[in-house]
Amino acid sequence: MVETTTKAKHGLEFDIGNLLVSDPRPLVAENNQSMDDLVLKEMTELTQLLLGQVWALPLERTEDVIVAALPKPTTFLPREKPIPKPKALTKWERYAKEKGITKQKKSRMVYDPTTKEYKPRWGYQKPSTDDDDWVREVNNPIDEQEDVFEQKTKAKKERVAKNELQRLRNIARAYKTKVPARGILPVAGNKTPSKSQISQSAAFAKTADASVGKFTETLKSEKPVKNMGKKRKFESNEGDLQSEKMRTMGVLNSVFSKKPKVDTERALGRVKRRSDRPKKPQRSEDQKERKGGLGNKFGPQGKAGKGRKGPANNKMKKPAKSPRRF
Amino acid sequence: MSVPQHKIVKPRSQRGRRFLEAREPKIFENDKTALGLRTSSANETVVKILKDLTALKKPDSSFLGRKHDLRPFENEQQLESFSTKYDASLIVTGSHNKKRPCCITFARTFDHHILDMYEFCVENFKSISDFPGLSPPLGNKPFLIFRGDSFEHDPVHEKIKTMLIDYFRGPSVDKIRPAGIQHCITFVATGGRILMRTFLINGPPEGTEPTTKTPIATLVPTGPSMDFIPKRTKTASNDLWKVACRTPKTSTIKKKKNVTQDVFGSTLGRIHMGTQDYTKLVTKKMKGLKESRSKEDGEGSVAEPMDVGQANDDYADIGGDLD
Repeated sequence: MVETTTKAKHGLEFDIGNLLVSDPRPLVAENNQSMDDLVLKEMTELTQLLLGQVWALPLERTEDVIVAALPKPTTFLPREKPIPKPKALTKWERYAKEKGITKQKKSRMVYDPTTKEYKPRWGYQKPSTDDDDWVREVNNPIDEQEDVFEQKTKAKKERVAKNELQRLRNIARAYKTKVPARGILPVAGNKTPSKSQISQSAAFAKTADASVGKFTETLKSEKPVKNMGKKRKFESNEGDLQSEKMRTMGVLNSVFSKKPKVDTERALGRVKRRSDRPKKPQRSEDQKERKGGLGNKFGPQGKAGKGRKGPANNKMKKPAKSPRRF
Repeated sequence: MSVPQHKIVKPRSQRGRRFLEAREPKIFENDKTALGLRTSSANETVVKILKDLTALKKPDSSFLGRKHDLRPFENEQQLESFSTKYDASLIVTGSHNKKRPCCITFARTFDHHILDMYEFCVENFKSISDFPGLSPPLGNKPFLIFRGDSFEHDPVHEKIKTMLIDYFRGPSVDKIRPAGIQHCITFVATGGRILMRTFLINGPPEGTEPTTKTPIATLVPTGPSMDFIPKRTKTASNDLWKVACRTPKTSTIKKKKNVTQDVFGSTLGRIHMGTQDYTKLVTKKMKGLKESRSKEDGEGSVAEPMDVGQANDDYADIGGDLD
C-alpha cells in the first residue's frame, strides 16, 4: 500500500475543507479485469491518502473526542443567494447622519409625579396618561358636537397611516422603485401633478360623498374645472308653460322670418380658411380617364371585387410549401 | 429591482418574521437544501434513484413523491417555483421515456433562478436497499473522490464536478472527528461515463483507544451506485457564474491590531496615548501651595505640579472587553 501511495501522488489535488481529492489520471481497465474491482482498488488507495491528510491535520481533544480542525474549502462553489446588500437608510436615518444626530438611550424607568415613584416608561404599570381618562376636556367649544374620544382615536389612526406611508416610501426608495407621490393623486412617472390635474382631482373629490356632491359648497373664488366633460341636461316634464311658449315661438319666428340667417363672422372665417388652404395639384386628363371611366357621376366607387384585405385573405391562398410544424 | 412582497406586507407573527428572515440572503450561508422531485413519467427505478439521492443529502433534503408534470429543459420556471417555495437551491428530478430512459436531472439555482442543469441517463443502478445493513450514515460528511482527466479538461465535466461536489459534500463544518469518517462517494470519468460508487469506510472498530496514527482503510461497496451518461446540459453564462461565485468581503475576517492574548487566556490590548499635559493636572490641594488672595502682591506662590510618577504603561489589562 505504501508503494502505491507514493506513486499515486502525482497530480493529485486535495481540498481538505470539502474532504475532497481529485486525481486527473484516467482509469482504464486492463484485460480480464472488471471495472468495479479496479474502481474499488483505486478508490481504496485514494481514500487512504485522504485519510492520511485528515489525520495529519492539527488534532485537539474536546470532551474525550479527538477532532481535527478543517481548513477552508478551496473549491469555489456558487452561492445559494446573492451577497446581501447593506441595509438602506431611511429618510430620517440619512438626515440624522447628515446632521450628526445620534440615538440616545432613554432610561427604562421614569418618574411619575402623580404617584411620586419611578415606573416603567411603557408597558404594564406605566404612569397613567390621558388615555385612561374617562372624562375629557373639550378644547374647542365650537366643535362641541364632535366626540372628543373619537377625535383622539381618529388622530391616532392618522398618525399610524402616516407612518405606514413613510415606511412604504422608505422601502420604495431602498429598492429604487417609484416612490409613491405624496398628496392627492399618483402621477405616472413620479412627477409633480400639474395644475389641471390638481383641479380635476379636487373636482372629483367634491363629488365623492354620499350625495354625489349635491350639497358641497362652492368657494367664492372657485373656477369651473376645464375639460371635465359636460352633463346633458333636460327640461323637466311638467315645466314652466311661459318659457316653453317662448322657446317654441322663437323657433317658429326663425323659420318664418325673411332675414337671411347668416352668421357673418362665421361665414367670413370659413371663406378665409378656404383661401388659405394650399390648392391640390390638378390632375391631367389621362390620369382622370385611367381611373373609372364613369368618374364621379354615380357616386364613389364600390368595394365590390376588391376582396378582403390583410391576413384574412392570406388564409384563402394555399401556401406553396406547408410550414414546418413544431 | 422588484420589492419582495414580505417587505411591503409585514409578517403578522414573530414566527413568520423569523421564517422569512431565515430565507433572506446571508453573508455566511446555510448548507444548501436539496429537493427530489418525482415526475409523472418516472418509473420505479427513477423513483428509487431520486429517493436514494435525497437520502444521501439528509437532513438537508426532502423528496416530493407526487407526480409532477416537469420538463426542466423546456420550462425552467417549474423548477424555479419549487426552489422558491421550499427554499431549495439543489433540485434532482427524473423521468423515463423511450428517447431518454432513466433520465436524472441535477439542477442548481442561484437566487431562486436556474443557474445550471445537467441531465444524465442512468445505467447499472444499485439502490441502498440492495445492500442490507450497509446504509450510509445520516448527516455524515463523506469523502469525495474524483478520478479521470475529463474532470480537469472538459469544460462541461468541470461544471458537473462542481455540481456533484455541491450536492454531495455534506454539511459544512469547522471541525471533524477523523475516526468518525465512514462514508466515501467516488466519481470516475471513463469512456464518456461518470461512474458513481459509494463505499463505507471500515476503520478500526469503535470503542478502541483513540489513536492519532492513521488507520488502514478498507472500503465496502454500498448503494447507491450508478453510471451517469451525460445528456443535455444547461450551463450558466460566465457573467452569472462570476456573480454567483462572488465572495463577500466581510467574510474574510481582518486581523485585529494591537490585541494579543497571553498564556492565561486573558486579552491584552495595546493603547497608544498622547503626551500628557501636566499643567492641567488636578492635584491634591495643600494649604502651603494656595494662591494668595491678592495676586498683585506677588507673594503667593503658584501651585506647581507634583510628581506624577509613571503615567502611562504600554500595556493595560483590559480583561474581556476586547475579543
